[in-house]
Amino acid sequence: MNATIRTEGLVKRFGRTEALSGVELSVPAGAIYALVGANGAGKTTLIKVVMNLLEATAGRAEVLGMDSHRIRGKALNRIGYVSENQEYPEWMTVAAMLEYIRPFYPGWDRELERHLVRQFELPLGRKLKHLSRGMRMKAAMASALAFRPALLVLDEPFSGLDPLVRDELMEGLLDRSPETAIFLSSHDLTEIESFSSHVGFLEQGRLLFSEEMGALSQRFREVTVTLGGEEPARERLPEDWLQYEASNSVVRFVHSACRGEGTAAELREMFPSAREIEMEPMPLRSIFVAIARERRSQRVGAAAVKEGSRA
Amino acid sequence: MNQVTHIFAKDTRRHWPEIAISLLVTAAWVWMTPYSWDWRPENTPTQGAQVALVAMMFLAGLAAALVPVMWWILITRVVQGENLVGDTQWWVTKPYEWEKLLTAKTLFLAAFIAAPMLVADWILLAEAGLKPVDHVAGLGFRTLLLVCFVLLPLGALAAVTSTFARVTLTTIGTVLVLGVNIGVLAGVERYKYSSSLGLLIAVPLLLGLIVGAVVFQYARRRTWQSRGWLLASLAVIVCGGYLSYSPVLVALEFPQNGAAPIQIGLEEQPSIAMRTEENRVSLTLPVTIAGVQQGSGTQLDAVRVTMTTAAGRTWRSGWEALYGQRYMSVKVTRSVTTSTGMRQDSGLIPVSSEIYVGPTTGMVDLGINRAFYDMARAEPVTLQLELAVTELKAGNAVVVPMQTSDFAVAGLGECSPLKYGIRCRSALRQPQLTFVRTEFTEGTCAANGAGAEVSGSAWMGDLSRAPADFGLSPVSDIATALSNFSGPPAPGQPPVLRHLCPGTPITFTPYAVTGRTRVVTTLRNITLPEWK
Repeated sequence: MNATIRTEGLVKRFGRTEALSGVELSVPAGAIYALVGANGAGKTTLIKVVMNLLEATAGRAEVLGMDSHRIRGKALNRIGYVSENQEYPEWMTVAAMLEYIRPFYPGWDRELERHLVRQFELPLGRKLKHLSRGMRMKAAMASALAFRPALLVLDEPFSGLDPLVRDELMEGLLDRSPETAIFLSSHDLTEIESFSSHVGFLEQGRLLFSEEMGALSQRFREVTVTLGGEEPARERLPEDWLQYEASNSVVRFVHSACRGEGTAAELREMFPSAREIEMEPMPLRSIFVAIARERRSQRVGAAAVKEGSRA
Repeated sequence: MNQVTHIFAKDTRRHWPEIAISLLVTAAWVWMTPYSWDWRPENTPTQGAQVALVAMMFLAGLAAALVPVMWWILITRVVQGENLVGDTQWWVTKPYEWEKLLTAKTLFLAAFIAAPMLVADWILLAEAGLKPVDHVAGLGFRTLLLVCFVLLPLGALAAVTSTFARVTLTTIGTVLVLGVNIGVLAGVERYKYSSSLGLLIAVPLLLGLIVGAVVFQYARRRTWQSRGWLLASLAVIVCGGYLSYSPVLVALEFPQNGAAPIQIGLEEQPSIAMRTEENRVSLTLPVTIAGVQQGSGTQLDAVRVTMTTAAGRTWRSGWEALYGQRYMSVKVTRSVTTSTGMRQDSGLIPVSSEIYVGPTTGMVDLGINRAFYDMARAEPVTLQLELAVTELKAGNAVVVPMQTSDFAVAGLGECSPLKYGIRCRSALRQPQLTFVRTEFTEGTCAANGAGAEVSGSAWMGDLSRAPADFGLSPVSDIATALSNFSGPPAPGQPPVLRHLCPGTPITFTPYAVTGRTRVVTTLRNITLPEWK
């Protein structure tokens, strides 16, 4: 399958700070790919490198089959970009902005533009500087969708928006899929869950995983084992068990490699005294919290080992 | 869609208030400037008229200061309309083609700064009585100067800064760096001769770097690299300044070739003046200049001295400026006024006589290292003088009778009489170097031209060959005082002004450069003056 975006060993350093550390990413054609991660994880940097707004220190990125260095000028006829931090031509009215940008795109669809203006209820006569944040994002989104881009890149598009505006924007985006592949970053997991087809998790410049949303949901289960007797002693936990907690009669953990009935059978074998084994699906938010906590505890553990070896 | 015209139209719509103000200020300047050319007492007979004229001249000066300020605002606003610094601009994610964006901005500056200035130049030349149509090439060159030395540098600064405040600070910083450098240079190289070759080398490099910075910034938006180019251009200006004092460049500018055009010797029984500064002894040598051919002239630009003691010890100075002392030999026409007034043909009774204008003796200032001077002054020394000399050739002299109002001088421009000389307006640049000579009349201007005549003369203009000077006004307006415009004062009385009577012929002799060379002369057995 052709990838809309592909990166290979992408590294970006700002002085001594490594914002991206060898990111390998592939966004399938037609996907709605959500790049998630905490603030400062490197999402915006990755997007800017992909969009040729920043130059990578090492590695390469390919967008719509072309090297990201070539994304400028006419190449942007096929790529829309909206960011929460963009400096818009605030002196323009919405109508003037659309009128100005329209001739830049050979594929601009006037009918779609009118539809988006109606759908987003854009006040055409008002200057951008007088619009609310949500309304400005809608105007930006309309200008980025009306030329039917092959790829739409969104950097934190829903950040700080009220739920109604957020839903309207999502609706507008979903209308354009799969004609338009969407690559967006967000740290709000709830909004992503119902919207994205693929998800990638970026932490401290590293892509921890990147996969299809359905597969991810299938893979993670919150496991609760109610024990009838004593839990067998374990020297080492399986690597795909996260946030393992055990009390006298209950063991809880997050299974990150669940394979349905096969896993259930395995767990019954591992907990022979179990009276009950529950495997609950997890919301995206819980999955990421589990991963993030696990990573943090690993880092703390590694630091302690390092400190101990020094001592 | 033509992206260039589309962006241009957007910029015009957006910046129309700034454009309107800039054009208004330019129009006001064009309207008021000619008033300053006519500032003569007879034009302002009443006190009210004088006050009005002074007010007008003040406003003209203010408008002249505001014109470049408006350019600066307009350039910054239009360039930063599509900000090139940073990565959060809306436009950088739109299909702008950088060549077209740069062309659109260039077109904007051409349409709203360069073209209005061209029109302003045309109007001012016409107002000054100088036919603009005769100066089309010069007007083009002046526009080129405006582009290269105003629009381009200001545009470059705007392209590598993100806000108006930052471009302001950067501009102030740049001016300060250049000002401090000029100050340091003027102090360190106070006496040195500055070769124009330094500029000839530095300017193309400077412009190349600035153009490179602008193009690179538009093409790649790598701001720090573009700033590096601009910093390099600043370094080129600074280095160019120091380079122009290099002896190598002076030697290149004044090659030692062929027979010397003049002979220089020391006056008999010379009285050598001396003054001392910290580490320097300045000697003023009275010299004789001979061999200046009729119809030619010689300009002394710089001198380098090698002093050798009786014991054979030697010290050599750098090239020091002589500030263009000129010596020439010309055939001038003396004439008297007839009752019908001055004319060059039948009304004029020419009495030709060959006279030498300017001194045949001169002064050459030498700077000697104080320690060497102290060591050498006990015995006579040998001084070898190397003089950097510009050879001049006189063109066709134009003789014009003095008028009471404006009069045209072919090849020079429009002139008007002053009490102490003349005032001339020339198109686009100072006039070509011209020797002006006339006769002052003692007492009053009698109708028949009777009265003792005293020769008055002066140089005006310069030797530059450029078709236009760099500056705001296209009209060079120079008042020239002629020598001997006042007689010796009676005891306790102020000097008495002599008169330039109507009809008195004024001779304008233009000079052009025919070559540059070095003249070497050796002066032996010079006794250096003792400390006073």
